[in-house]
Amino acid sequence: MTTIDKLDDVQGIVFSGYNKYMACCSYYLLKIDDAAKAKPWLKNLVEQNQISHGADKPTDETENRINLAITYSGFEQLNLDKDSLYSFELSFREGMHSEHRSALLGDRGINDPSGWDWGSGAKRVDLLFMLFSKNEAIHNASQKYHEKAFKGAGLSVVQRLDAGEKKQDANGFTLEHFGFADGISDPIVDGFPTTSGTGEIATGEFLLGYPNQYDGKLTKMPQLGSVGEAFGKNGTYLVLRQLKQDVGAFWQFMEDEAARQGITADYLAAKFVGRWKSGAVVEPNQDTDPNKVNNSFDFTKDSHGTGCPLGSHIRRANPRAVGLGATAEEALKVANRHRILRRGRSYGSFLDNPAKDDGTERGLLFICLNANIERQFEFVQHTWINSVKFAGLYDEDDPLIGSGVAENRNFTIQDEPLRRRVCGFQQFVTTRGGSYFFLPSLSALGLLASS
Amino acid sequence: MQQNPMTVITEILPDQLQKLEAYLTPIGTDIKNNPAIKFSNYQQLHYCTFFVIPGKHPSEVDTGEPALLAFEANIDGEVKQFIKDLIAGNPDFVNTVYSCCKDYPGNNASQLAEYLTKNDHGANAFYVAHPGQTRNTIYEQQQIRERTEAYIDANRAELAAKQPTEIHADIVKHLGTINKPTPQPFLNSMGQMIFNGLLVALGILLVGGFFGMFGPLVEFLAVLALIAGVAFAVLLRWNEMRDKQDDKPWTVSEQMQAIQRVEDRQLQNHLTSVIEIKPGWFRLTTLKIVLAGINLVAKLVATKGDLSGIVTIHFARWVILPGNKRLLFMSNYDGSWENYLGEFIDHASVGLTAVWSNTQLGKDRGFPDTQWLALRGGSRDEQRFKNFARNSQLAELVWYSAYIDLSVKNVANNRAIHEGLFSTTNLAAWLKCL
Repeated sequence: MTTIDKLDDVQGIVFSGYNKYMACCSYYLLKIDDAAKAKPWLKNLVEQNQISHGADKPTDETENRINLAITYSGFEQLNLDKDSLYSFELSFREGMHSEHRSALLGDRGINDPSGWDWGSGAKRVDLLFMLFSKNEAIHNASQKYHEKAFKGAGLSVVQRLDAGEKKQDANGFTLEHFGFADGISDPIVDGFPTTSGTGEIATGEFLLGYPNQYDGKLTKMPQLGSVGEAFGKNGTYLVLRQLKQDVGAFWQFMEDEAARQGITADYLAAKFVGRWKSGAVVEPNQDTDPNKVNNSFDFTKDSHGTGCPLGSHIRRANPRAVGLGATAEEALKVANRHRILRRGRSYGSFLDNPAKDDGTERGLLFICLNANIERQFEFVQHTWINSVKFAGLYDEDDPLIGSGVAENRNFTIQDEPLRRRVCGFQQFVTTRGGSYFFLPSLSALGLLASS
Repeated sequence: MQQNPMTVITEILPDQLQKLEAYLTPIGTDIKNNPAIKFSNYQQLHYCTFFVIPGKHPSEVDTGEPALLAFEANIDGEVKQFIKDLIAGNPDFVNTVYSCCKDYPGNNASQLAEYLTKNDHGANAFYVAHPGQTRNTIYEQQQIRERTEAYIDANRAELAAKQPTEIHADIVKHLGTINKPTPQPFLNSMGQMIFNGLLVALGILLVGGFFGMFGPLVEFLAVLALIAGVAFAVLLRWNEMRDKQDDKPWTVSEQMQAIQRVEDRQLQNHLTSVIEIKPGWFRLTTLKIVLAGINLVAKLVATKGDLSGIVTIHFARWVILPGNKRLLFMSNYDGSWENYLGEFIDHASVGLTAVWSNTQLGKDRGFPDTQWLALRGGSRDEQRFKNFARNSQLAELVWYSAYIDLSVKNVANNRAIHEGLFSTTNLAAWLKCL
């Protein structure tokens, strides 16, 4: 079991998405126009204890939560020296929008960075300012206050992304726009204050400076001048992607295709996701939602995918204990070296009639934390989500969120005696923007402010 | 038919290097439609690559060694036949390439063939995912699968109401005349048993011999083997304690950018690594023994698309370069570089470390610290190992894959589909292949 020495040095978003106390949330994507003004602003934020950390115990009285992350270009703007810049991992230095990374992530065609709302070209982003508030009145006031402060700090707002209203199902799970319970299956991380006992995943997978999943080695940390690796400790990498969900097209297709195949739309959609709307995993010989969510399952009893299809979304996002090794134990060990910690929220309003689009944009502000972007987020995206060869398949990517196949996509639903196949559908999720950030510790933010 | 490795290594004339690169690069960037050569015309060819090994690589210090041209090919049947076919089919290509190399004999076909054969170094260890599967069989079985899937797609509702035996019969009837699958090579099924038998025999000989059960000569040899084993262990640990691991992070050089420009853009990738063997007879001898061992495992045990847990390699080989100073590793694999290296660490640390712990990037820039050849450390040091691999890597000028859209698992599954057409048992399980 690992202990995190200084919880008050770690930004709070690492431990919690603040879903319980913070109803409102805005992500400010900022550009640094004048570093000389931005540094005093940053210094002030740190010294006034405005950046939330892991020792802050939220209560009903807590009004705001603020966290701050920085891109590679942000560090350049803050005049980090060359050696320090070079100490960040390669994917972070290249950036999500770069030719190499975007090819790897499947951001091609309609997902290409050249068409993004932010994160590429002139819409480059230097800082991510995450503002959470208890209620709408407080949020409006806080927005005004901070937007004014940005102006004085030589920062311009490239984009403001507001999280949408929260919707919960009868079981208390948060719903995403397609209508499925979400956020059921985040890893239980060792050493986190929310974890009792020894967690399933090592601390160092999500927080730098602690043992990782490779026999407790330390993942490489960014360094700063004479401070060295202490700069990187208690920090981590943060991935933000704005993923537009085409809810109308998704459900319209489900209804048409289900009618054609003589099944129900809910059944077909559940096969795509791998879970029923309630969040219950789809099991063999099951035709309707059991509405009983138990997340401590693996796929050893469903190794052929006749329940939860081999290529379904949840099987790709986390294969649990099947297919990655000779034994279940080995497969789990492998899977656990590629986990991410999700902290995002939905944006846009919920569609009243899911099969009828209303022309407004909605989707997911996907945020994940990981100690090594290449080995965790990018790996999941490339080798599991977008790979057409995942689990021995031939020509299909993640049917729900994949972008590995541009159009005329396929999906195989394993069944007895004969598989079912869904052919010729479109991508239902589109990348509208994205960037890689570093989420420094509070002490590292202090160092940056006074550098 | 057996698959064989060809590794032709020739010295590039220093003043011809640029010309050679200028000739091969456009072929590599347009592998299908370039006017110089159509590799798919060679029916026995699974994969091939051309790349330059700079004289100094992987060291940063110029040793004055000449650059080498490597031509790797994975072939059905005899290498000699392939060379003959290649010279007959694309004489201009072969002559243009090899006229840039030392000792080029001129455009006489038989002399040229002899030249290539003479410079073919084969492989010290060679792994084939599916021994016996020719390129043409792989093509044929993919077609069978596609036709079967299309038939099911069109008739699924009707078929799903039937029993597995009826569905099977309908598919067989629809496909019409299909060639019978060729039987798997003998070693695919019996290799593991032979390997185990060899191990047991060796064990009995050593232990029994030691206690004098097989006469004084065997006893003497067993004692000798024991002494040699102890001496080896002492020498090994002495060497390992003096080795220094490389701590330099991976640098993004022009070379690496060239690699990244083509990497992870399609299903398969090719990895080329050239690395220095640690100086002295001890490391070279150890390396040769380890490679011979891996070769034996590849021939007898790893014959089902699984090399000690790695299920993404189509072909791989290790070649000790002429002069015994450098080790060449080449592999054609599925998926991303990150995944491939991850699989090495997750599943094959022992075999991999046993090879690479004998190598270094340069003086005092060794493989990550290893204890007992492969038992501890080495590639288990994830990040240091990945940096080491990256720094040893070279970009290819030309890379051809005969079936870039098929994974190792696809090839195996296609074969199972084909075989199942001629089977009458386990038909419910067979339907799961579809």
